[in-house]
Amino acid sequence: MAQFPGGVFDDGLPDGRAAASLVPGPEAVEARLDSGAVFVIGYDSLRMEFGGATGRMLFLRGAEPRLTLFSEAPGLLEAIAAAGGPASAGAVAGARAGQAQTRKTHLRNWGIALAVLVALWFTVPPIFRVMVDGAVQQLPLSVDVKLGELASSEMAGLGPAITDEAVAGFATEIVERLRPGLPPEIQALDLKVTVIESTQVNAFALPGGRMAVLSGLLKKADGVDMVAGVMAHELMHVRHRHGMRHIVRAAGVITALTVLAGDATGLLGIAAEGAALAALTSYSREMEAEADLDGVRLAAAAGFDPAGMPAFFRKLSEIAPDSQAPEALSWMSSHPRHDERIAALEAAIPGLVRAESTPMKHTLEAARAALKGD
Amino acid sequence: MKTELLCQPASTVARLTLAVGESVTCEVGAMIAMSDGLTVNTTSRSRGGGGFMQGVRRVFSGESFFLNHFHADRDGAHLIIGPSMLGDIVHHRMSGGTVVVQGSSWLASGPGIEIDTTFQGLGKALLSGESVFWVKCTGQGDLLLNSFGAIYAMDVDGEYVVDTGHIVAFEDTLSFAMTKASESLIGSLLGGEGFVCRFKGRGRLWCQSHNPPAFGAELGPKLLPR
Ligand SMILES: [Zn+2]
Repeated sequence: MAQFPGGVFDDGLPDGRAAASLVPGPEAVEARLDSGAVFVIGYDSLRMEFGGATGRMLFLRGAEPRLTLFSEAPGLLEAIAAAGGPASAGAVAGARAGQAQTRKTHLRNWGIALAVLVALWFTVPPIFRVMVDGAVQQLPLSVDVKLGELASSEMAGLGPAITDEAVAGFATEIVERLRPGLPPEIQALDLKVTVIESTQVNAFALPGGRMAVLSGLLKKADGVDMVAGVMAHELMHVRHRHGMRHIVRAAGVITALTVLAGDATGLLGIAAEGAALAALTSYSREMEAEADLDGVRLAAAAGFDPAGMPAFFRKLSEIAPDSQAPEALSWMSSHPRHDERIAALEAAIPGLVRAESTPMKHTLEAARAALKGD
Repeated sequence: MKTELLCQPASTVARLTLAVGESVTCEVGAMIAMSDGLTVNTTSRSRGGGGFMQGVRRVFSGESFFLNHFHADRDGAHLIIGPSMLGDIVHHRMSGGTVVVQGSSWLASGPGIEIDTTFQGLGKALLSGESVFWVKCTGQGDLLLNSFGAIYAMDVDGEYVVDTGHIVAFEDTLSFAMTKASESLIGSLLGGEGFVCRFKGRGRLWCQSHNPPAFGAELGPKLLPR
């Protein structure tokens, strides 16, 4: 006869409970203790239900109210059904009905939880965004500058700065032409641009207004309008304080998850760290769209051809597939989803008024000639 | 193995005296002092198989990846163990069955007890602030649990409610669910109880007098920055 490891609760036992082997027979289930004692529950009075910490433990009760047998061993219910036949059929059906009911409640609870989660998903982010923007507005621009200084050491690690007037003057002249289109408090910042010698096609702006253009970008660009487009985009990250918003947002996410997860142990702790990391790696889609559209407007207002920015995106996506060194196109990796962005930009360009342009004192051609290699 | 609890109750340590050939498994870092005649080895597995994955799951429950096994080479070798937090220790002799232990409350157990982890549900973890994984001790022998603050055992028969964060361990014949403390959600939040754990069934339950996350939240702001 099959035996199932389990236990017995009975007030007559020294501890009130003892380990036992459950043996389903033709008329009753027996619980055999190591001490030799045997407890019996007949099928005529048997009631069974699932419970315990896992919900998979079977509890057996009979006419004697203080006696309970239990086991979590799989197959016990089936063995009782097989051993007892019609005698145990009622009790077996009762246990199965209870199990089905529990499953239903479980499913309903998960359904409710899921509905709440979906509702939060749609309501929390907009509220959160408003709160982040409010918090960033409370912080003075000097905080952005401090933050930019902290990050500037990383900028120095990219490569040597190019001081040649033909190169540095070219980048500075573009910034000076873009500057009048910015609000006064941003114009007051130290909008300094450095050209760094590197094969990478990249440009970025730190919070507070310091900018870097990697010389690979000057080599790949087809005209001054392309360079101006990228720099106008980067200036708009500074103007909208995307770096600050990004950090405040990430801090908010970590705080919220910590509150939810208590001391942030276990899976939630890991999820919180992951979310924080993801939040810090790149700007959000909305931030990039904002920098694109306001950037192209800024470029046009400064007399540059606004088509330069989408043209540059297109050029990057064309050279990307057969590029031998994908890291050379790092601006692309931090600014993905080209097709959507090009489409959005080209839709906006016809509505823009391009200011009258005067010829640049420094030209892209001269800057390129001054660059080593190529 | 002879177990004596010393210095009870605020900063309890346990003195375990082993006969030759006996062994005990402890939480890494629990050993405070030991006599000669003990060999220590550190593994990721408790008893039998498991090994690496058992260790990984233990990390999720708030315990260490590794376990220390102390083995006596002579009669009367002893070691003193204690938890990292201030609090009490309880000694329970298991005679079969399973005790489910909250994250960091498992301190030591005899060789007849297998230590694994059990999933307690994401929903419960979210509402209670407890870990998703709990330590599951199954078998026969000595089990030592530690608490934050004092510890008390309760034989539940029917229903019993414990505030979140105060559970140390419970026998797996008990089921537990998270419920609101009062009828309305707002009422339970205002009452400061929020969600509570409702135990059902028959079995032993161990509770601790202090709740570590709440204690940390209370104390943290009062600490001077250095
Ligand atoms: Zn950007």
